[in-house]
Amino acid sequence: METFFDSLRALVVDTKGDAAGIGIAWDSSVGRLAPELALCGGIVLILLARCLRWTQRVESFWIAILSAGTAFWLCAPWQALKGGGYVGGEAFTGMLELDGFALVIRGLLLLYLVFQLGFTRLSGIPDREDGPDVYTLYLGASVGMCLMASANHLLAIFLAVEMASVPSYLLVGSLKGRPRSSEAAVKYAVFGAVSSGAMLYGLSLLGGLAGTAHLPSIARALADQTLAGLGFEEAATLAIAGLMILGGLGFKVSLVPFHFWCPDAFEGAPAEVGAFLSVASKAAAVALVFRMLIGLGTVTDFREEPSRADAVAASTVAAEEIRASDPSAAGPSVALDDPDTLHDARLAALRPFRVSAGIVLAALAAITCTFGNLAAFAQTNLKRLMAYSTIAHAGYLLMPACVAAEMADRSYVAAVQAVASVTIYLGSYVLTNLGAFAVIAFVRNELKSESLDDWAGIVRRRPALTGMLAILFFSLIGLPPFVGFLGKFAIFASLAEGYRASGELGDPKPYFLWLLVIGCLNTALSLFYYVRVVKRTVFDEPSGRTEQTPLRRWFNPETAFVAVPVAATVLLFVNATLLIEFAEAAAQSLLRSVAA
Amino acid sequence: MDPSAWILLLTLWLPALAAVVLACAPTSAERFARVWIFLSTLAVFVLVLLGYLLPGSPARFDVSTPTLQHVLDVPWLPSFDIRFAIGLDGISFPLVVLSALIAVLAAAASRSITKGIKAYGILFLLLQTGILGVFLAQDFFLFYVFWEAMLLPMYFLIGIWGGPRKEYAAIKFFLYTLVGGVLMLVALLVLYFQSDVRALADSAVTSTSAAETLAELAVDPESHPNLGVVVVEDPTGARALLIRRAWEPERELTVVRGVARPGAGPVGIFSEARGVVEVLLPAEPNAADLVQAIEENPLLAQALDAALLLPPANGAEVPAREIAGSATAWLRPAPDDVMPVASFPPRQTLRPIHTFSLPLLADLALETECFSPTVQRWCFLALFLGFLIKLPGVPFHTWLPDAHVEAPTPISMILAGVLLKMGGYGLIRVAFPLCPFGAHEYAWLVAGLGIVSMFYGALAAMAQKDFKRLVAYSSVSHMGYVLLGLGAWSASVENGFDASYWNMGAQGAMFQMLAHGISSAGMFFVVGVLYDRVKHRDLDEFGGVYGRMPALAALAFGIFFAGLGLPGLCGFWGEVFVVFSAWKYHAALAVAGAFTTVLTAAYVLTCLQKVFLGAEYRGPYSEKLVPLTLREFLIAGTLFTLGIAMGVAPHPLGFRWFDATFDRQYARLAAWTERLLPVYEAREARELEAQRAAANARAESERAAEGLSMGETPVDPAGPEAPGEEKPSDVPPSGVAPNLEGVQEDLRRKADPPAEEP
Repeated sequence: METFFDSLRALVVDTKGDAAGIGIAWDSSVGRLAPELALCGGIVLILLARCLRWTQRVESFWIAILSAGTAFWLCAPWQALKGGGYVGGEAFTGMLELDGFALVIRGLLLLYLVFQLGFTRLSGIPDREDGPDVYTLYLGASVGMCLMASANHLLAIFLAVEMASVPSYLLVGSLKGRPRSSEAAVKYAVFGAVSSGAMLYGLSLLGGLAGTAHLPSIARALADQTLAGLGFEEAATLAIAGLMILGGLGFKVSLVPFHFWCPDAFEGAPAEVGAFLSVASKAAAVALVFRMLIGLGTVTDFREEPSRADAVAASTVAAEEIRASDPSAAGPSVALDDPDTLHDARLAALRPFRVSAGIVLAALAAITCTFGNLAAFAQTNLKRLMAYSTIAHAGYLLMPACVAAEMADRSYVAAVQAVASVTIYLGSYVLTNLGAFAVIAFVRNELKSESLDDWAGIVRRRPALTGMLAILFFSLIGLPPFVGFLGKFAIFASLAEGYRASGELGDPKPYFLWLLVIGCLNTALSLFYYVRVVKRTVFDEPSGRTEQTPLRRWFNPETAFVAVPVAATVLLFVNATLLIEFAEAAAQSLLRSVAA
Repeated sequence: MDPSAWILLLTLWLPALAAVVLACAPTSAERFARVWIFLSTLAVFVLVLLGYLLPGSPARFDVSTPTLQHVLDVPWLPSFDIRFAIGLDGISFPLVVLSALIAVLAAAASRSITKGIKAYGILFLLLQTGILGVFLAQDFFLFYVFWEAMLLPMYFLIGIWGGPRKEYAAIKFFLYTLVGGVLMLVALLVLYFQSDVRALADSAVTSTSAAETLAELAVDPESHPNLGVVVVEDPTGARALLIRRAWEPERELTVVRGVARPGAGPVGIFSEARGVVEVLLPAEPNAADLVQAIEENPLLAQALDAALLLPPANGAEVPAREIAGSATAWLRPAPDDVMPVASFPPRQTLRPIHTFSLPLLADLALETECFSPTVQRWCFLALFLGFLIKLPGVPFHTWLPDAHVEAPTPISMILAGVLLKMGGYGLIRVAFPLCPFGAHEYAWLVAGLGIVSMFYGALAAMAQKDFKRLVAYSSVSHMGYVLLGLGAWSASVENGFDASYWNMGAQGAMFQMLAHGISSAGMFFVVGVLYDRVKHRDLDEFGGVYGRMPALAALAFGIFFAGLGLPGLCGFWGEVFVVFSAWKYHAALAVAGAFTTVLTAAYVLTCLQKVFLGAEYRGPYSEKLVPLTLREFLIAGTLFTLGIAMGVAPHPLGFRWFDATFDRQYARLAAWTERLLPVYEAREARELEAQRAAANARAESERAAEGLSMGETPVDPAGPEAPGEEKPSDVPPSGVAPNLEGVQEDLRRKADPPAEEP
């Protein structure tokens, strides 16, 4: 009985930082989850307002934006830049990992949420009646996405993914009464259900095999099992589990064999929702991919923990076999009871899993990128075009995963650069894509069409918006002097650095270089369709619809809104250090287990 | 900040600032926009002339300085050591002047632009900043940024204000250049990550040229906290290089400096002019340090040898230990003469220090063996392709006729007059100095494509019916000379290597770029003047323009003959220098190059005859064929005058400005050819050998495995390799790589000693 109360007390302390009273410490689990709680508070308030018929007086938008702003302020991503690095740690007994990586990604997501809400309000898609629904769904999905960025436990991963997905299905169908929208929502939901089912199966296989669902513990268990010798059945089960999890994550990231929902969902959904799916959802999913890759692929140093004698014993038995099979894994007859050696041996034992995951991701990234860019070429609907563009960008985003996987135990610098480059790319992509979708939505409101042909010559009616769309598209291509170039440059640089570092260690990985070349050629390939939009809107003679649109010049709320991301694309390129510092802080935090 | 830096910054950003001002003006103020574009470009041109040529100006360009001048170097992205570094030398300065001049003339020629003059002006001015940025940037990343950023305004300028097929031409131009840019990006990344400034630190101890180039970088301790290369300047103006040896990053460094005394000498760099020696050692040097330094670096041994006046003993090598002993004996007991000048804390990390700085990368390529043969090959190909597209050379020239024909006249002038030069500039500034081994390997490709471009361009020009297309193809032909001049280097020691021919070819290429900038801009302007009047460019419809527009005809004859390369006009010198130097590379190239002049004469004369001569003009819009306006006369007259002036006085208007820089660059490349090329070749041969040996070993072990399966005696997998190690005369084993360093040293020792050279 005593033990029960002890563990209960420990649980309470872990949750709110103080066993007595009702006070909640800022550094407790609940305290650190304040941003998500602020969003939840916003949701509750909006729903309450609706029940109590406040909606007539207070528009739910203001509640939503207030809670999003509060959440961003509470999240305070600038903590990542403070001297000495942000010290995070696990929360809720290991369900979440609120480290610097999670901090930066959550900050990005919440900042994006603020913009997304403003954008939705400006473009006026939800009327006053639908407003509460739509804003609630945005906030709810964002909670899920924030959890995706910090999930550290198989259950938390699944919950977070579902929490982000289910509101997204509804959002896609938010244009009530339009068959295309409903069709898109159904497609998206069916696809989502199947892939989450597959992922759940994969997660349970993994958890069952490792005997735990906590990511670092799984990694350690896998490493120890490998050190003790992994049978064929275990290996095959692991491979199946990995592929199934990949299916679930690939659906969220829209990797190529799992991307079919993407164009249809984007075409059917309003552009506002498209922006949300292509930016926030993707950012969270990419963060989760890296979290799982690094979380499962490396082991944390458990030196402070009381040593688990059985594991050590098992490892020592296995040491002979390792020495025989892999000469690099074990030094000359050093027993594995030394914590340093054990840590290294575990890292080395996980290497095959990590590397094969990296290679699969690299291949998928190359295919996704090329496919997205080729398929986008033939599109005539702008939202569909943006869907394929989103797919292509998912490819770029996953390119450094193989460097992170391959170099995690070999070159800390290269691994950090790989993760940092993804974060930089996310930062640039979030901004740019938001702006592009915003222009599409605003012009759609005028033209009542998203067909590229109807947009011909729109520059004569909307010079500012069209000019800014051109800038945003050039940023998406990755041309300087815009921030998109910085993201591409960082990703390509991480591939080149990976190649150099691997060559320096005597084991060059030419596929990094191939990936780099594929990425570069894809950049040239993507030029076609982005520039086709620019050409159609700027060079061509106005279409009938364009002719009927009244001329509107610079100063209106829409232009002012889009000007923010456009200015940011230029300013973040000029002062690129800001983005790079955040990204490096995030990457160092994610990779701290291999920092030695 | 230095006032010269302000002038440099203003040159670069003035057009962009003017564009911002123009963006704020109302759209209806068309007249203001026109005047503003002209005034802004004029202001840039005047600034360039006054700022860099006026005696007493802080940024006055000194023609006798071969290295970079007025460098402004501030950190931009510290995590990649990307710096905002701009500066001028003899390669960039003439091109900066040319682009400023052509911009003024093009702005004056923009009268024909009628729609959207404000947007046109903004893009035009942004384009100018992009072009100037490419020529001024001294950081590879910055260079790339300007190179790509310049595409966007050009794309719109062709696509909006172009002719009937403008969209096709614009996207083609964009795509071709972007592909070239992307290839450059790959090369840039690979070179960046292969670079390691620490390698330079080791070589700079003995090589005075490296010290000189490091001094030009204006490296300061604050900006390079972990560079390991620091320049310290003392009150007398003497400079010392402080170098942290790569193998001892954790030790503190001090510079110890003494005055040379007769009979007793220094270690390290010895400057006769200043009578100062610079000793570069860890703190509290001891004999072991010196021995290590000497053993690591045979050149240092020689320097010591000479300085300590030890008898060479008929070529017998003095043991390193002995020299070290005498050197420390000199260093230790003279505390009055020896004083620590500066000291720096130990460097934090052992990580390689990458750099984007173009001068540093060139130093690394020319002074050290930082970039492996394979890297240099591929990077050179990527860079060459990128610049070839821009130049343009056959077979990547097809964007050019389309872009030129569709672009409006002023943009054609800028395209032909300035933009094409960026390709040649890139080759001279980036591709050749950064990948000397690749450049040496592919010299035949460069020169061959040059000849092909010259021929193909000329033949294609002959076949054209469209006046503007003819001029466009003539550009392809003329830019071929640039390729030929740069490629024509007989850069192998066995081949009677003579760097002066090579220098001549490169200088000819540079002069050809400037001359072509003048003549092609003039040719496009002449076409534009006629097109504005009669709205067509069909050569067969022309004839008799001489009678209607005598002034234009006279100017056009001068400009076209200048392009043709008639002696006494600007096109002559470049062609003649290039052809002369090509003779040394291969006589056939020179003959073919000279023969191209005949083809050029054929199409230029036919074209002039078809357009200007004949009884009278019978084509459409005959009544519109009015004489030149004063504005047009001034533009064409300026180009005409310059064409003659550069032909009559090629030195003061051309060679004088880039002579020193080219001499130095080619002296360095020549030194590289003599010193490091054999090392690289040996290294490559060894790598090939190693690969072959590895393949042999693999084949043998497979055979052994087969034998095993067939029931023969089991062979240890290491078996086939073991005998190889015992018999060095045999094929070397695959494990030769770790010994590379030692072999390299041996080779260098063999290749280096200046005493052994005749």
